Amino acid sequence: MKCALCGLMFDGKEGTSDCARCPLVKACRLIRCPKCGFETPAEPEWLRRIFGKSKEETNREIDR
Amino acid sequence: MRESNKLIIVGSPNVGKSVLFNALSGSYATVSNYPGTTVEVLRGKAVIGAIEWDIVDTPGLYSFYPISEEERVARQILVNERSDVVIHVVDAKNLEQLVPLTLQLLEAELPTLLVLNIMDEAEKAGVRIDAAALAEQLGIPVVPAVATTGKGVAELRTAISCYAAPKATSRNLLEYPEPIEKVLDEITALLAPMQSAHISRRALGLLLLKDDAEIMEMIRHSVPEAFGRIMAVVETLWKSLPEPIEYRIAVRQKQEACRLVSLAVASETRPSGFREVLSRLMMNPLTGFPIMLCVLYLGLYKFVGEFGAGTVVNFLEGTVFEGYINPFLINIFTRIIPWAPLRGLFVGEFGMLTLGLRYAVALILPLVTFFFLVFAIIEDTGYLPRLAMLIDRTFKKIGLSGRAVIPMVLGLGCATMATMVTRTLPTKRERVIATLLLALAVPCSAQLGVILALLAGRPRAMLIWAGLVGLVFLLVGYLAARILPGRQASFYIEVPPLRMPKLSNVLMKTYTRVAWYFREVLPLFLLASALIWLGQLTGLFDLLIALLRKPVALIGLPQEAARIFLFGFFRRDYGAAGLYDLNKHGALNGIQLVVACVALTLFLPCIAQLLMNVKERGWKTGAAISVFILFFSFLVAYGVNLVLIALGVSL
Repeated sequence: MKCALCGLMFDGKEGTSDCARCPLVKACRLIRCPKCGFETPAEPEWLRRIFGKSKEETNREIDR
Repeated sequence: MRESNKLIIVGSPNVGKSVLFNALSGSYATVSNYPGTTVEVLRGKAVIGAIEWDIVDTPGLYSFYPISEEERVARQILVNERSDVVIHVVDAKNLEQLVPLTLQLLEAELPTLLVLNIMDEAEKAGVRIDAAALAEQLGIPVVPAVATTGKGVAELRTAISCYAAPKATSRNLLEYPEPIEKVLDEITALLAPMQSAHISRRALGLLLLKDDAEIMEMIRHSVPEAFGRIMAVVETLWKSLPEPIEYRIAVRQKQEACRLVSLAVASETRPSGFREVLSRLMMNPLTGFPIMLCVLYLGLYKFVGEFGAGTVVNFLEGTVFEGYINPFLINIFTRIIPWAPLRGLFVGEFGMLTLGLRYAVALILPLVTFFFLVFAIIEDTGYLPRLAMLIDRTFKKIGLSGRAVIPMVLGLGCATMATMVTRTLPTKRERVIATLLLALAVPCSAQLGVILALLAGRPRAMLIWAGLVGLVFLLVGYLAARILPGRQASFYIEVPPLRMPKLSNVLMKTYTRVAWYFREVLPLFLLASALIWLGQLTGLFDLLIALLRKPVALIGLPQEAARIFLFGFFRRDYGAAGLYDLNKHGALNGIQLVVACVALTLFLPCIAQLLMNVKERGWKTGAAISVFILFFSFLVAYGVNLVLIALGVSL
């Protein structure tokens, strides 16, 4: 995915690396940009399928 | 006897450093904590070109000016350990963002070799890189690779064994504005006797200029006789520049990175003329602030406030819940549970279903949906980073960098989560100011939505509320920046091209945010109703309300308003929903409504945020922030009430 603020492209898994340290809920489904910290909720796979998109397609669209 | 050759692998997190480490060293590696830290460092051995090499895999590093503990360790390794080759691994998709570190490594005169990893994904994303052109520009070997498949590893081994350090001096690669260059020359001359560091004196000078505490301490020990003079030169430069020096340095490095990438990357798409002009207008303070006000007026006031709250909430709340759902539930529960006190848990004045469920579904859900829809459009157009750049100028004046826009924007979603994000701010001073402002003057999305709903039909009341909260934000931030010690911070962000928002992206983002928020809100609202029910049974609720009645009366609000502050302390949006109910029953006049909105916005953060403040900033700072906010919010509300009444304002 691509961070909407700083533009870094990263894997969703990288954005949950801080979860173990979080004192709040462990499963808030927020993905944090590893560079700037901007948080975005994880897009569910079923929703992606409804819009007929793969992750790569979404990245390319965001890039344009 | 000479030590083995040493190879240090650096790069930002998750760019494939460890995969390359394994590819070069085989499976043998030792993992140990770096002395004095809990950060793990991998060390191994490899035979490359018939020579034995010690290999070090460092923790993630974005910049030579570190923020996190991992970055500090990686930088310490580079500064304190001799290296024969430093491999900088970058994700080829993010070249423009990662090349500044390559430039910093070259400035440090480290024997750098650049690996463009994850080339397969870059190609899929349409990024085509001319590695030879990049190598020529940088004056170092550049190796494209896909470490996970082993592609490029043989070329990398060859490049390591044939490595020859670049002949060009760092000055040839990157020059800074004249005043900085002049001071760097003075510092490098004064650092001449220093022997212990493995990076160039010029790089040490740049880090000193960036107020790097670790490097400062190192130089104080290494050249104590020159330290005073060095710091005098540094401080003179700091005072003479109108903006933070790290900002100037970062901008220069970024400019150079953009230039290099534009020469070597074929697929960079640049915006067309109109978009480029619009982009510049959005970031120019003269035109940018009017554009921002238009976006807020149309997006928040008209769409969220008037349409979302005025039409949709009225229908869901008044017609659906009060007309059908609540009477139906009350009827059912009256039959099932004859004992009134127990029935009250579900369908009483503060019942889990008649109040908690109604607040969550009829009030908060539509408001956050409309808010996040506007937010998703702003995000998908690429306006958000431009807003950050625009606000940076204002933020600098109150001691915050534009980087603080991130927690502030996230605070509009949930201030508790946003407080946690303040740890990404570079200085302690910024973190404290941002935490204070988040707790004081940044309403969460649902709270903002309810306030917009309440004030949507009263433009003058809306202006007074927005003006006051904005003024408090700026004034408190400004005073905090004057009181708290420390230097101004800098900010630089990648600005992507402007684009038309895509409906599918906007809908997906809105849905995922609303689903996340609602999942969090619903159980907590039900719990809040249950706790209030319990408090009513035990008498504790009435006791707390009685304590709040006096200050509430002092700010000119009716006694019934006391409970919304108690609700608000449990959860901000729950308190805002309480205010909505109070106003609906005609308990507030125009002035009281504005005073209540101001007081509730500035009032103590919810319990979760309070605990987060203590966790992130320590109990002393956390408690000081809470005590300040408690008194300050009522003081402001008291003043607003007095002034509005004295002026005879009709709202």
